[in-house]
Amino acid sequence: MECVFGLVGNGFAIVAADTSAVHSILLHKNKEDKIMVLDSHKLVAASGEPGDRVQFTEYVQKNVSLYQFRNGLPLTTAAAANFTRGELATALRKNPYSVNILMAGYDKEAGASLYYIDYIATLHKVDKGAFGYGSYFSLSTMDRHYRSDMSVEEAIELVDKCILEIRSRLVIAPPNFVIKIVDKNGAREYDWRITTVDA
Amino acid sequence: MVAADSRASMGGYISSQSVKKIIEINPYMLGTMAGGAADCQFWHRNLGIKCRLHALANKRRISVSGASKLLANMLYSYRGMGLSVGTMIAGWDETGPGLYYVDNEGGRLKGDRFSVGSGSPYAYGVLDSGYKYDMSVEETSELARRSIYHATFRDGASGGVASVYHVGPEGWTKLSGDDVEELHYHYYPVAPAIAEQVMEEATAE
Repeated sequence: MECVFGLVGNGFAIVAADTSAVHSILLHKNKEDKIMVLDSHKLVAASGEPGDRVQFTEYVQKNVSLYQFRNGLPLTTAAAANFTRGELATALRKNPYSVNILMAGYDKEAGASLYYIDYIATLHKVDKGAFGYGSYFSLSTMDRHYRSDMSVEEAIELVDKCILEIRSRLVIAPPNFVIKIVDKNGAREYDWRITTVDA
Repeated sequence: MVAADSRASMGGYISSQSVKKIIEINPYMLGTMAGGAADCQFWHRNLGIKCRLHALANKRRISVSGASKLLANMLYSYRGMGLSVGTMIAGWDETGPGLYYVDNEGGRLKGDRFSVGSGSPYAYGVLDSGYKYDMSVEETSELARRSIYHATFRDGASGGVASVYHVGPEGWTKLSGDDVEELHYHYYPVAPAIAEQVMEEATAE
């Protein structure tokens, strides 16, 4: 199952996601990037049904861009997270989206932040969060080793601990992960953790 | 390189051994059919119409990425309503060759190789073990043919004729169409049995 997790450090937020595109017993692709760059300083890591994941996150991305075009100002991370939650909530009782989202962003005033948005439109601002079966392993690992003022190196060490734990304990563990970071310099890809290159 | 079998089944009954599962969307783009035959045929035809309208409106051909996105968005709008489509869109555009997997859940994946359908795990086994990015056209068409053959051997819902198409800068061409029964004896010829005892005709005495 899809593993997504993230945490906030000192002036940055990091999210990691597995990169497997699975259909019942078949792994169709193991380099599928599930962390979308929403705008210059926001990341959206999404897990859920394949159609919903791409369509809903692209819908949010386009609406965030539209706001910026119309108003000449980008949305704050909090505003984008609340917009996303609102869309999920509106659709929930009619045609729900099965997507879980971790939204990470950096704002000049608020600093780095992470928002946990699940498929039934729960919204929480958190220091660390995770979705999927991998969360059973990564949440406790993060709870144990997390501190609120971690440097990037310490945070990556923690991310690697979580990935190692998921790989060793989850019965159908995803082989590859992608890690992305957002800080005052913007949102960008940080690294990949690859065990299986395509056959 | 695109290859497919040609069997259609209704439960345990083989309704046809000669279904065209590689659909010619336009001269430079192909779609494959897996899942519901009617859904695939209809929506690929519809995609062909949309691609032509795009070319007329924009005075240039649609990209493979654009065509697959059109199909994925259309299928997504019908999600939950029981469409059954597992397809690959293969074509050639300005950026070179493009291959996308699109299904009825709205999923869309870009990749270098895919296998779709009930026989797909069997085909993946042969495809993955024989694949290299820089293969010749002959090697690739034989790998594609072999993958389909092995899938038809093990999967009851696959069979008929293994068709292989090549997609290049000038468009697609059909390379071969071989009956999988004949391919079986081609790959695994029957050695003549050495009879240990021969029955003789009893002569009327």
